[in-house]
Amino acid sequence: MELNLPDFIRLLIQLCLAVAGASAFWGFVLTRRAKNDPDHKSEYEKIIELVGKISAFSSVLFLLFWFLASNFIFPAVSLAHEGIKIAPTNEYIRAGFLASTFFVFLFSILVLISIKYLFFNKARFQKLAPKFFLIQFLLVAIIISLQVLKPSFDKEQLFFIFHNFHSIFTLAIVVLIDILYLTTFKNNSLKPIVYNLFPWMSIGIWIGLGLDFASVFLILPGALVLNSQFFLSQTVVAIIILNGTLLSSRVNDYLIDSLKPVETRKFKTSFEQVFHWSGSISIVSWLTIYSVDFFKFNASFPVLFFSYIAFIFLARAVYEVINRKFLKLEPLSEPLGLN
Amino acid sequence: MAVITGIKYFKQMKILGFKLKLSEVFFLLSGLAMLISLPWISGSGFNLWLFAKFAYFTGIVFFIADVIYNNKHQ
Repeated sequence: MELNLPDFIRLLIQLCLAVAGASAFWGFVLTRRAKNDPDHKSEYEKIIELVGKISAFSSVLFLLFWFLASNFIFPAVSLAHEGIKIAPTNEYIRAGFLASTFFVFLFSILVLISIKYLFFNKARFQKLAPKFFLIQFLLVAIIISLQVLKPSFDKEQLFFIFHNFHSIFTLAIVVLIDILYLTTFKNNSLKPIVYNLFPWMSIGIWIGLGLDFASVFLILPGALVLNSQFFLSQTVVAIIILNGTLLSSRVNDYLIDSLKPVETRKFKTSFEQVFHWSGSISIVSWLTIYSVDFFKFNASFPVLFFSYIAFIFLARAVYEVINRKFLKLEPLSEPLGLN
Repeated sequence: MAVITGIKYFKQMKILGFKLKLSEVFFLLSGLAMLISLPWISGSGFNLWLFAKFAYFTGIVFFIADVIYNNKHQ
């Protein structure tokens, strides 16, 4: 495996920027939903504040890594998702950094203002939250689309735009769902709001992956390189779809069902195991295809695939520890809901 | 609208003893087709790989319709 610092920093830039974009997008959606549901204003405000903090944290990390990469680190070579190879030259990456400088400057001002209100004037933050989130999402969309810039606008440029943009709706939403799930797990007043948002977030993930599929058609067939990296990515994408089928319908139904007392639930408690495995497969799969995007793996397909499986077991073990240590709940005596 | 009406009537199909939603049928088809196509991707498997992508997009349409339908009828 070829692992170097520039590749790693670019992966972190992509991850932090995408999470900032996803939290801004879903923060904006939450502000709209809060407006239509004044009875649960305080619950929505708590979740909006939480999403604002996730957004601020990922934005600050992005700015740090972006400053480091654009000033001190020579841009690295990148591969596309799914192992379909199209490598932007360092010139294109450098041009991308240059073109996004102005927008990163605007973004940093917005982040500073929103952090000021988020931590020192919460009432004002809640009032301005829709504007903050909307402007932040638009700026992230521009910055992430400009990560690779060619001198001419052609199919390849369009591929790079889609390819970078879709991470706001794929890996970033998966990360956001995990954070929201873990942070609201013990809060019965926030869970109904968060769990009812998950099916909509699943739509975002499906559309995000669809954007990447669509972008691949722009560069076929010339970019197909049938190496072990390609076969790993394709297998993992197929697993993401199969696992996502379970996660986006049955698991979402299970979570909404878990808001009821045990005796009135449709799902058996044993389904919790399916949910935990499914969640572990999801996060490891997305991190795998993003790693394939930035790093070169020279090992054979069986070695790569068994490493991927080993990481799923590791993620499941970590989650089990978190579950046993922090996430034990008292049984519900009455249903939790928005109505 | 037509898709939502379709969802109403074909909300769940029974295949091999499993009750499946239309979106699930297409997503499962897509994932399985992608896996099966891989050993032959450089030849005849490529068309199956393309079919997997189109099944995927059809799955998205039904999934969106399903979420909208559930949201309205909860």
